[in-house]
Amino acid sequence: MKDINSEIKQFILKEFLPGEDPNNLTDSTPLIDNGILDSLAILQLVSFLEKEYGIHIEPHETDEEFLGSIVTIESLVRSKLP
Amino acid sequence: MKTDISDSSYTSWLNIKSRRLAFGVIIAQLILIALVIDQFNLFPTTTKFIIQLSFVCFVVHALLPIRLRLLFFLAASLFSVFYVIGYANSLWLLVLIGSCISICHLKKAFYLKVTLLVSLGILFALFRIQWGLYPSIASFFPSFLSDTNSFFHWTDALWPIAGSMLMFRVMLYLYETEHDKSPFSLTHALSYFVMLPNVCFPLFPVVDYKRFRRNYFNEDEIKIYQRGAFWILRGFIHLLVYRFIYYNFVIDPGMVNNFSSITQFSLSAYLLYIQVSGQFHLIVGILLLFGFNLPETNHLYYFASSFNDFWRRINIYWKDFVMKIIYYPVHFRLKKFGNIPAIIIATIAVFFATWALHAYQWFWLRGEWLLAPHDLLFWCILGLFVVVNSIIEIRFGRKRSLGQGRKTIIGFLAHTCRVCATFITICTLWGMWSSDSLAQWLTMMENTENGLPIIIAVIAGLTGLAIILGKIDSALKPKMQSSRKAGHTFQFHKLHYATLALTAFLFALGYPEIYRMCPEQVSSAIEKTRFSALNRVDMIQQERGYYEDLIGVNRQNLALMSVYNKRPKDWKGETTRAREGDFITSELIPGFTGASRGVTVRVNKWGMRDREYSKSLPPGTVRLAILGASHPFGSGVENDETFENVLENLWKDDPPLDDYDNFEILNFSVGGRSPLEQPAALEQVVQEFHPAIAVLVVHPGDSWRSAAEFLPRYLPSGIKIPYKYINDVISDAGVTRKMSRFEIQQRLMPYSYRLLAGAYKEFVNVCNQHRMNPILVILPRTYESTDSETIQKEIEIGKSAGFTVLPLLDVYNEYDPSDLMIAEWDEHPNTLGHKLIADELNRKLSPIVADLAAKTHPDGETIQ
Repeated sequence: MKDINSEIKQFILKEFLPGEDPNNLTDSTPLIDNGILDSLAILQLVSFLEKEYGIHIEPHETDEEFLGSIVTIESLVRSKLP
Repeated sequence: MKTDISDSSYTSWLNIKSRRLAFGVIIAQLILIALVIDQFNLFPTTTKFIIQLSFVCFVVHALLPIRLRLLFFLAASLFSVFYVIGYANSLWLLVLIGSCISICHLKKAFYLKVTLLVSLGILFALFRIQWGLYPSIASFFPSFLSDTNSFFHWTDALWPIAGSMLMFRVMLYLYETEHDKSPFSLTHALSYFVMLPNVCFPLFPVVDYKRFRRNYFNEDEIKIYQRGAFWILRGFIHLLVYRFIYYNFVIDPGMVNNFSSITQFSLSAYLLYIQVSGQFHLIVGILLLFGFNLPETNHLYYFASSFNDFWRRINIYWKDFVMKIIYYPVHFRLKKFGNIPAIIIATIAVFFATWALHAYQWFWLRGEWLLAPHDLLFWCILGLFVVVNSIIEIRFGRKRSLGQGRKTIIGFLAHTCRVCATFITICTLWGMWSSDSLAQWLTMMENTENGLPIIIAVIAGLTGLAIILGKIDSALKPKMQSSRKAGHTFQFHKLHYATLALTAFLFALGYPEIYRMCPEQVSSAIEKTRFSALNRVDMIQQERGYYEDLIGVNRQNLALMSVYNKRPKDWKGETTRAREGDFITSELIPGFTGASRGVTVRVNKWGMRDREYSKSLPPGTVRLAILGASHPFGSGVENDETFENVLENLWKDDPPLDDYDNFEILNFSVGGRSPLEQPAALEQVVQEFHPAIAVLVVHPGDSWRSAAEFLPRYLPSGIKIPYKYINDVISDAGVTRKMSRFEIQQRLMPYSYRLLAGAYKEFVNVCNQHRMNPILVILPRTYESTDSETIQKEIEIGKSAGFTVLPLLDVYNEYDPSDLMIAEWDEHPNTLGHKLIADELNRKLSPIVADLAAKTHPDGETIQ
């Protein structure tokens, strides 16, 4: 089984935080509150998740409840996987 | 044992000493804030009461078991609604809210619920416009509802409040009920719609329902409370800064004639937005006190470094609202056509919706539409900038960091250039948005000669510099950006005591005994900031309304908006009639008795607001004629309370000269009459009553008002102007009747003193022809601190024309403007103000009148 958590983390580090110390990004780091995921980044992330895991994300699933941290993103993905 | 304040695992927090202490300090902060709010008169009485009520309710709420807290919040919110808008309005409000909630929970298709809500909204909108205009709708209701005296009849106050509570929240509520499967809670739903401070703040942040529910006590409550108190303080400071800017920097568009004044106009317009962020901080701070752990509403928006950054900071709740309702749904539908086209269309949709929803908001709060081309242009330009900025961010990425990152001087300079370029651009756009029209803004820009090209060049230069410095910085920086520990550390203790210290400081500063120890400029600024009144520009807008029903209230002008919302519709009344085709535009209706500005106005058979007098001069009588506008007319005071009547009564008891015991003062003042019309009034009407003395009452600033307000009134009407001096000015200024009103104002402004001098000379000429003695009384308005340079110049003009000049500049000195105005929305002097004027005139006019009367023959001949 894929390591969803680390794939999401790698994607965020590569796309939005190039050069950032990976240790600073924990599973519970607030991504929306900290401004890491703004509207454009959310769209990029959604596109990545949909392509990578073959899932469909709804517009109402773009807030802190679902994309607020790596943990919540991982749960969203897992809840949609067959 | 020492307990860590950040430990959120506690249950019974009051059992822990350090937490009790922290709670006590927060209460102390709130008490100080309440006192400071009182000292600085920041809010109307009702709002102040509701804020104080919130603080008291906070303490009770915090001491209640958690299961009762939401219910208590709802009860407090409902109490505030009933207290402010009354039971009938409140009951109707609950019916409206209940209807909307019920529709949202119908087990029907989404589009059907939307249709029902839109239909309900249209019905409300008809009532919002005016119940009386829709008798056909009213006839469908039972008489106990449509009868305006009925127990169940609502008033106009219902609609702005209902609009404020429902207009956006119902959209978010419906959205969440569609997606959120958590069980329905009536307490939560009602609390969301009637939340406590809303009834006093119609302009309310668009609180998200999901956050409202999910964030309720989701963190250590002491931390939430402390953040709430701090935000209230921040809001209060924003409002103080707003007031300082409002009183000291706002400039009338008519005064804009060079680069410096356009800069002042645009800058002050943009800075005035701080009032909105101040109110939003205060509102959300109060909600935090009740456990709703909501995020920031605005974040250092003056320091935005790009248009996207500005959009993300200026009104975070609004941005989140339109992203949720418009942006993501549009993008998700269109993403099959490609990411960039979907982003472009979704962004355009967001800005179009923002424009339309701002007009919609204005409708619910003001009851009228605000659809102006420059309004649309503002949102289009901002939308375009955000689209371009988004494409750049997608292509080149945006720097983000979890820690603070390593800062270099070059990086800092690049950032500063970006911030400055963004600030200047937004400021310029905001100036356009704040103008009355696009034509007005373009005329202002033309007057600055190369103003717009210079601004564009500066922005381009700063942007170029930012790009170059940014590239150098990237090349020099090591790859690893951040070495500090990431994450946001909540520094509770710092915030806790800093808030307490700051509130204590402001409390001390609010005492006259303390701030008067500061340098004069500082103490005068604090003194001014303590009063709640309209500034000079807004007062002039009220005058425009007074003269011509042209009330240029725009969305930035919240003070005026708030004042007008409370002004009764029939406040002015009609006491005058037009004089068709005459240079004197209006006159009082002879024999009129009726209500105006809350009092009864009685006009005598000659068309004076005065007692009855004979036209011929009784023997042994000295007559004075007073000519002026609304102040000597006595707008807002009873007939026997006008300073003219008070003075006449004083002289009946104690005449200025013993040999004469019959002094008559005839009041020829007419509301709205300008100094330019007074020579004609003197010639055509006043001289027939044989006054010995003609007293012309004017206000400081009548020179530029003649150019900006009075003369532009006549030109479009086509009335023949009988005075050479006015026609010469029109010709020299190159003014034509076809020009826009604003352009006429701009062209006439340089001739303002010349216009006033011409009017005064004409007045004195008429006096000389009819053997009257001219006296010029310069009477300040209740609100204005007088500009000494203009006044000195106007005094000189009066003297040069041949007047005896009496400046009453200190007449109101000992009083706050609010003690002297007839109403919050009307600056005319009240009974006290008229008494002060009468006393001052008695002191200054008596010796002059005595001197002149001594020269009068006892048979009643007028003075030589």
